[in-house]
Amino acid sequence: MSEGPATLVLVADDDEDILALVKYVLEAGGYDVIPAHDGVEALGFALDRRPALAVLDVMMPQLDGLEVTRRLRATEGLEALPIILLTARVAEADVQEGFAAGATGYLRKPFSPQELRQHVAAALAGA
Amino acid sequence: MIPRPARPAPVVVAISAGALALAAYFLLPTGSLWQAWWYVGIGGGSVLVLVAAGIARRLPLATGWPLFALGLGLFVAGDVVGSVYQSTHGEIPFPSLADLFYLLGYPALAAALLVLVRRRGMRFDVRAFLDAIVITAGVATVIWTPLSGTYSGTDTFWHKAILVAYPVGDLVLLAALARLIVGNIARTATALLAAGILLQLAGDTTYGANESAYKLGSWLDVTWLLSYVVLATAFLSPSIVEAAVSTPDRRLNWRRYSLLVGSALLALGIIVGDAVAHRATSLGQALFGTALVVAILFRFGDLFASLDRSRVAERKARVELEQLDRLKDELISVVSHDLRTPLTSIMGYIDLLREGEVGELNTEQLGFLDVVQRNSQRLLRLVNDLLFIARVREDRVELDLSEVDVAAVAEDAVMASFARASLAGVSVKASIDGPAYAFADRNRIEDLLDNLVSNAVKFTPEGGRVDVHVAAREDGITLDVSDTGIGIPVGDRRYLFERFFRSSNTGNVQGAGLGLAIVKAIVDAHGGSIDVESEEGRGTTFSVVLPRAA
Repeated sequence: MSEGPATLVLVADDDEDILALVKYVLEAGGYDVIPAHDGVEALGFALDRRPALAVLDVMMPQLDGLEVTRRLRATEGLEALPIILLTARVAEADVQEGFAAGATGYLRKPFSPQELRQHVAAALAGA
Repeated sequence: MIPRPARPAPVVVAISAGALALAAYFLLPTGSLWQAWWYVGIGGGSVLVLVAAGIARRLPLATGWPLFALGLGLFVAGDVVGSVYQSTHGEIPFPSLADLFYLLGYPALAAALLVLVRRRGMRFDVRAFLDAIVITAGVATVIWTPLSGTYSGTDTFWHKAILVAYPVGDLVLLAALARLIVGNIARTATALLAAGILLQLAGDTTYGANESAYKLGSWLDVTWLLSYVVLATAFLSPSIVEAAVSTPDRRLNWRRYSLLVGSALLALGIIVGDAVAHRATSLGQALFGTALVVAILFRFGDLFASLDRSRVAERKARVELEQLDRLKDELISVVSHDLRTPLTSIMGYIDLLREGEVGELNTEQLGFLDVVQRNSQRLLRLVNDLLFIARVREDRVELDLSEVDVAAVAEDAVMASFARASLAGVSVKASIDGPAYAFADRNRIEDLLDNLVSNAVKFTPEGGRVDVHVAAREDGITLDVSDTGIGIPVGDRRYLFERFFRSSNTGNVQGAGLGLAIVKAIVDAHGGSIDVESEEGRGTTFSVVLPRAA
């Protein structure tokens, strides 16, 4: 990881503590993190900064994670961006809705740092 | 200062004007043309007032005012024909065009009453319509014998038919009135309508009792003339709108009972009057018939009232259930989201601390963090259990079915229970006869076994034993979890699988009472069965059968 710029990861969650948690875990893993506090901010950062991966909370004010995913998928150059959805909605139907919106991965809350690392690594490897 | 007198209500004004017009009627020379046309004037004036009120005050059609105007208008048309005959021939022939108008007036008024009975929000109350037909048919059937006997002496068929048609018209009106009275709260407008119709019926009945005695200008005209005035006045009362649009009071109170009795007595009058005037075969027949009429009226009145009551209660219950359902949905969302979010932070940061990411921790610190973590997991489990139970209640249990080796899952569950069991001094053993494949949701089967095994350990005193036995049999995969625990009191067994139920002998053992409800729901969702055998103080065995993988 020392050579070249670190991999850029966009993280969006309206819960400050969870945002800090994800940011900490990913930065400790050597990633550069762009934190966003809502869907609109996340969409703006994604368009400006072109991250290698987006980790989005589903239930956010303004734009929810599903809608952000749909819009990113419809944006030129971001069709293949790996997107992991974080959510407190755990029903199978919700998971299906997430994948239908275009998510690459789906992480149910609560998750352990270990699970987060694995999902992020898998999403980036698949991209 | 002299207080300005309040403006008199239109109802009072109309009734007073009507009374004056009636007084004037009797001051005119009896039987004169003046009187005949004044009679027409009172009727026509009433119809005009009704129409004017309907248009000027924009009365809703649900009040039935156009039909009332039509019915009264037909009666007035009959009066006009009569007066024309009176003017030209000096007497009214029978039958005449007047009879046609009069006879058409009855169904029009009856229809008007039924329109008023109809409630807003219902397109056409078929039941109310049928009710009225039932009453009418019932009453007509009862009085048919005396009627047909009564008029057998009259010469032609048409004479007979027309003579019979009048009391039948009265009965149709009576039926519609009965429906109005049992279905509507007593208000000024309803009371005036009822009074108007009853006056009409009273006039007809008295007339029918002794036709030949009637002459224009006799006191009997009061009933018909007052009927015009009172019916039209009903539409001047503001309560006519309420009577047509608000939910009626379903109780059959004394006021409506007395109105019913009044109308029933009128039926008596109709029949007895006819019987006396036309020398019916037997007065007794008429009396018994009337008793029947009264019985029918009351029976149906009660029937309608109770039917309506249950309809209202049913609607209310449905609304309450829907509200409860919404509340439940909200609760689930709170449980699912608002509890999960803080748990994510709590458990995530504990993990980070335990991983030593922010510095090594000593054994005691790690031990304390273990306690926090264990309790967070307990909380998460409760959240998941509540969510699962809510889904069960909504019939939304999702199963991810595949071939699952229940024996292997059972061994895992037994292993997982070792730590807690050894603390409690309970030995746990799995006896397995090789793999046992069920067609099931692996996660749910794990939940099922975790619940049964941890329950067994929880309720077994020190030195006790828990045995888990899995076998593949012809009829399915059998899973038995036996313990030598405290057992379940006989009286508690029927509630055992209810949510939040805790047996009376659980003492201070912790739990929310969800475990067995979840077990039952999982078994049911898989199409399996569960049985329990227990002896208090000796132990309990839960026996589950799950469908085999094909």
